[in-house]
Amino acid sequence: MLQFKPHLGIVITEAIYSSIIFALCFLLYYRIRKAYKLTDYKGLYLFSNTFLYLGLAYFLRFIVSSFAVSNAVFDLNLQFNVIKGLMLFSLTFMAYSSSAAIMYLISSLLWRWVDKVGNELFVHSIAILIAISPFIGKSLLLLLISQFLLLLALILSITLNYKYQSSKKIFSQAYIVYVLLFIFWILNLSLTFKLIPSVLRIAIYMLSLVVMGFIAYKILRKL
Amino acid sequence: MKKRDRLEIIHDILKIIKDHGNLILPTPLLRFSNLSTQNFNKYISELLKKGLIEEKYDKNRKYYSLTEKGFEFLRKYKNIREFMEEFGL
Repeated sequence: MLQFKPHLGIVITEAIYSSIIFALCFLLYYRIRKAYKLTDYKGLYLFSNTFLYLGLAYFLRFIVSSFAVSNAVFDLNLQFNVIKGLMLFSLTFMAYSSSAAIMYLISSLLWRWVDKVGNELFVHSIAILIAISPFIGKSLLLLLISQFLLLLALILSITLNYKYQSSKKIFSQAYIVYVLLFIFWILNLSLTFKLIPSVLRIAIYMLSLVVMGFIAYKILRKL
Repeated sequence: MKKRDRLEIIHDILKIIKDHGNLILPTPLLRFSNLSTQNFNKYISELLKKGLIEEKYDKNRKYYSLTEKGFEFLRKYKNIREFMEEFGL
């Protein structure tokens, strides 16, 4: 019978990394949501949801890692099929949650000019479609392609927002944050789909933490 | 003159109330806020509903006054505004 025995060091690192990212995301969500509750401004609502869904994706990653750590430490001897089912669920949920996060970010940048992107039904429909795409196409490649298409849509949104924004000088600061968020996403996506060798895992985690910490600093110093 | 957006109008109304010792009659508030009667009534209803201002009565005359949430809005407005502009929201 096949059993699941991951390398303990890797899953512990994964659990610590995910917990820091989701804690940062929920902190950002809480602070932006507070500003939204005061002003009732739709852009703040959409922007806060970016961090809510990104946080949820990393929260699940943390739960799965913790589960794997428990399995290894307490020798639970879980069957491979159980773990496979859990991994499949977590991958689907993470694909949904992270796609929703990117969709909310795009919405927050474009809602003033394009009504449809601010529509939450539209946001979640696209995210669900992306999450179930591997089941439809019976290949993870479809998920990878859709994630890259989302990132292209994000770049386009940033460019359009910058073009129509009245205060271009101030916006350059935020442009740095969006570029960093883009780098963070690309790095984590590449690691998930094994486009980057696993030996670089720790280096990517460290770089991602620095990027996320910088984003948090840029946002929290204002709110 | 640049057209004010919704948040700027709310900020202006709250600031007028604060600058008048946190107690002002509807007529001078309408005059200072530079809004049409219809828009003024719409904004006042919204502010009352959101708990940013409250009505107070003295000798059968109605006054508007800021709530704690209204003061919090004024304190944080500048930072929130800058944040929204920086992030293109």
